[in-house]
Amino acid sequence: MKENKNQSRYITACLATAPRIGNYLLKLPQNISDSVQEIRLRLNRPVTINCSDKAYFITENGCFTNSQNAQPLLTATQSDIHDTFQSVCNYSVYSRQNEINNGYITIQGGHRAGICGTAVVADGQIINIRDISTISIRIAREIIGCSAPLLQQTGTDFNGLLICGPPCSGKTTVLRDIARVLSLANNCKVAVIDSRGEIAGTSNAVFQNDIGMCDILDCYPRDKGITHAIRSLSPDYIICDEIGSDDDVKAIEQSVNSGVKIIATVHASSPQELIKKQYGKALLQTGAFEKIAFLYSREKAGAVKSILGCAEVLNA
Amino acid sequence: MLKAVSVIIVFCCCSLAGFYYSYKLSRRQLFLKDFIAFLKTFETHIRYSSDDIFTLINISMKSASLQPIKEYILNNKGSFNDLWLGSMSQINKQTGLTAQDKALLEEFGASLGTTDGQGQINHIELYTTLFQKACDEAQQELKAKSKLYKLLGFFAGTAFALTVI
Repeated sequence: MKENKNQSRYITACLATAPRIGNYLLKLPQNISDSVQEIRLRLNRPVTINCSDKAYFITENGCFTNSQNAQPLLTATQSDIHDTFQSVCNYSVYSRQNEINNGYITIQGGHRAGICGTAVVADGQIINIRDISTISIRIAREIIGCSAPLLQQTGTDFNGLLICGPPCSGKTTVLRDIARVLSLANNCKVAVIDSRGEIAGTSNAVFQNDIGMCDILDCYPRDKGITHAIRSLSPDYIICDEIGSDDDVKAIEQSVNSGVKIIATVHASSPQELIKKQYGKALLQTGAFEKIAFLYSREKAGAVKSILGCAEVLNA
Repeated sequence: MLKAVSVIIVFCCCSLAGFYYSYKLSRRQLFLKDFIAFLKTFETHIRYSSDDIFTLINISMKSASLQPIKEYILNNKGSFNDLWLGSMSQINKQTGLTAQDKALLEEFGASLGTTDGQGQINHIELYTTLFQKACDEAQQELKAKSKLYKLLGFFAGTAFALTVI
């Protein structure tokens, strides 16, 4: 398993923050920056760097500490939050409005900036987020070969695979590698519904991650992307990230009827949690997933905890 | 002989000065027309492509008079607001823009890209109206003063020549 481009990815993420904060972040020693998962800016609170095992803070003189008691710590000001927000939007808020309404913005490099503040609601729909108080930049990692342990257990001739895990467990990283392997090594036609732009990390139609010979439907809503792929791309596999609505389940049902195999991810750390989800049972009952893989938590990102059959999970 | 040469030189200088000021008036109008054309193209692209602001600047700023702005923004790094303000100093002085025109340009850039699509379209429409007004003024000024400057230069030169002779 080989991790590539870690340093340049971390630097890309740092450059998306306000210059004042970015200058501090760029001084982080490489042994720590290689394991950074998140950079979190909270208004008037210390800037936090979350690694897989611990969190770091920055002192105003540029040192890094994991104690919140070290004083004075670098805090994010209103201006830092504003500048970071404009920067993650690439100074084009109008082009990111849908993403903002969904609470995240995918930035160059495939990193995801989660934003939170005060929701502006009209007719029950979030139409904007104002007074942004937190921006959390989650660093996208590309680990070539990370799906090998999973594929060794499942083989590549499965009839649908659902990858489950808690947040930051490496679901997207594994999914990206599976897409690459299937499209290159197995010469399959793979359509990737990259609804959040995290899998391929598309920027100006250029893929920033190695996704082999996949066809990428960038920023399509999952359900529409699945329909589009079935109609126009005749895929062997459709890959999509973070299934999370009834519309997604319906679209997956449609793909089953079309004979297309689905590989998808969902937030769930155990079979019980998956079944408890509103759409979890319906998702499994579509018959789209022969195997369900559960990943460990963020401490062992990408590692497979267990692989179960669909019936086993439904009976859990 | 020397007298004759100096009279001719002064006459030419006065006439050229008249032509120069007249030319500046026409350049202002030309710049504002180009800028309005840019605004309209920009608005269309925001509606239909929603590309990021740098791409839109690249594809919408086509005229020669706007090239210094485009090149400065695309060839430098920093926040869009800083780049826009920096690009204002690149505008050729011969464009004859007034202080009000420059203030309008700066105000326009300050809010560019900072709101949703409809907000941007409204912003562009508002500034299209304001720039159109400035352009109309420039045209009126051109009509009223262009000939005047040329004639003033010519007559000033002639008056000086006659005085010397």
